[in-house]
Amino acid sequence: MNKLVTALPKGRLLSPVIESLQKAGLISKELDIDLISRKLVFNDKKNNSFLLAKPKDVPAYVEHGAADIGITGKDVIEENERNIYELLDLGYGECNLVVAVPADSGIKTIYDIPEHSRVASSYPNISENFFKKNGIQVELIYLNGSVELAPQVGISDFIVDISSSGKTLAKNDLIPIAEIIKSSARLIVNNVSYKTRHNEIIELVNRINNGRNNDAGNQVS
Amino acid sequence: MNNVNDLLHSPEGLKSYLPDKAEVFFHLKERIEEIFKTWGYRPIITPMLEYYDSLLLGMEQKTKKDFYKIIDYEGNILALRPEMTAPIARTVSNRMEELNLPVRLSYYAPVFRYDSPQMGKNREIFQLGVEFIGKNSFADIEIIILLIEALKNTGLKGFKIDLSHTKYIEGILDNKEINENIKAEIKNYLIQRNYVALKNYLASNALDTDLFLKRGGIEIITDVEKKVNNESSLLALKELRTVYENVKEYGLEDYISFDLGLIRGLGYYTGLIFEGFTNNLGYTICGGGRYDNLVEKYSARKVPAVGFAIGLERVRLALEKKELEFINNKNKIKLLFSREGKKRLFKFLSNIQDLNLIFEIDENKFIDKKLIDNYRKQRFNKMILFKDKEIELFDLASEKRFTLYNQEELINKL
Repeated sequence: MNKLVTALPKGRLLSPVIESLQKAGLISKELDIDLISRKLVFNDKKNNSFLLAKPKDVPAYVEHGAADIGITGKDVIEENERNIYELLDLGYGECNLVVAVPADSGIKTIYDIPEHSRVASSYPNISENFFKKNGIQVELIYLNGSVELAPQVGISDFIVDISSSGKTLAKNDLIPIAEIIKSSARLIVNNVSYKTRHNEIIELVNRINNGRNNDAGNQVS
Repeated sequence: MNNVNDLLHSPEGLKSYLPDKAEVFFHLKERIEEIFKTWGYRPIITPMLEYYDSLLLGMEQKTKKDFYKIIDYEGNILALRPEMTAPIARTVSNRMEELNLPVRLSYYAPVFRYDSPQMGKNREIFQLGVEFIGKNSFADIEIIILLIEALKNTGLKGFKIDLSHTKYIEGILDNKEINENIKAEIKNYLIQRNYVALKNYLASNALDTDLFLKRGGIEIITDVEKKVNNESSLLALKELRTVYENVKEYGLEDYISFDLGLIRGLGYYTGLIFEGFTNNLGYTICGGGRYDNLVEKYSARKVPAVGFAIGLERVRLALEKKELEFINNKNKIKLLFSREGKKRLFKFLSNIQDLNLIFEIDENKFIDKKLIDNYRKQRFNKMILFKDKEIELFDLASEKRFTLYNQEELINKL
């Protein structure tokens, strides 16, 4: 059997992901996160292979079979609409994708948003679907990051962005008025790998779950 | 489009195949068609363009955006066919009196899907497939055996066909206590393969996840047969078992597995469904199923049918990583002639029809090192130079040079 290839998300999700995969036995305990976080590809002692990619790119690697499995946020999966299996909610990396408006705008709900308002977001697909579903016509401005800046400099009227604590929003005088999705880290699987390596993958899912339950147990005791 | 360089590119998702790839492509196509023909499937050709509304009749509304659409002079909306089952069902409905049902049809056809940009997907897909249209209790079994035989004949090894049945999950959900919206959501999550949301949904509606997501060998059929208690699901399982047992009797059971969570998105399937895959390719290579209500949508006559499509490019990709050298083993010969030797060359050409050679002709006076290196690179096996008095033969494999004086001597050496 070939080695199992896993696509890991760089950035804030990386250390909780590695920790949970170490507990599940997919990555060996001695692995130095600081060392590997600068690499793009590494092999672990157990002969498993790992790719490090931007969270947004993880679904593409998995869909095209460059990786058998991958871990990334639900927000990214929803935005990408890739043809993959979503097998497990890992429970960490929680954040919400919210609609946020300037505090002084007087807008309380999404239905107060005037027609043809401009919304800045790094999630154009999710945003478009959300407003369409709610019958609100908006104009989308795609931005790669620092979306909070857009209303301040006047290129958009409000934003759709992720928020975990709400601090960044508050700092920029923005208030959330609606939640679009609740996101957390998910384990995704290539369509064919799900079939060809089914037992191996299901076993991994179970081990990750057990690792989590043990944690919960430890916290109580 | 002002830049000349832009005009050299093909539109996104569409591409040209140069001979090295095209040769492999057509070789694989012939190997598959050979099996279709042997099993009595006769070719059908349908137009590349269909009325958009006609194509939609058979399909789910949400596939709408995947169509390439064209407006003709009369203002009709036409679309490039995104698959062949609906066009064939339409044609059969329209020409039923000329066809003797049940009818076995095969096709080779490019189909077009307008996938969202930058997803790395081909938008022109070369499909080979069959449709068995009409009543026949053996059809499901024949179709699965035919699919395996066709894939085997391409040289593909270690592939599997996952079987499932639309009525299995429908049977479980056919329960008055489950509200229609929830049923639709569950099916949606199965199609999207979003098992996180699916499990949450099933749990909150007191449904057993294990029944929905079983995959494995024939043992899982035995396993769930004990757990489900509705007639429809049990009948579906029985049908799956019958297919398996027949394929086993035929000797191909190693190629079969089951995935009861498998739902194919197109929306017209009504019974057995399946898809095939190999270890070394991240995409499925073929798929199909039974569609007993589709012909009825076009003709108001209920005619059962079952079929599959194989993605030729995906078979090529699955094989590419192994070896595809078998195609270039043919006797490929470079024929050279000097002006005085042309007559001898023409005589030779009129005598070799039965030899199954591939040759290429050029004028040249002698065979030198530069020529030898060049033709070796192009994978020629031999070079033959026709001169005034004699014929020179150079074997590129053994590096031996022969001087020959008549045609018989030469033909014996080939």
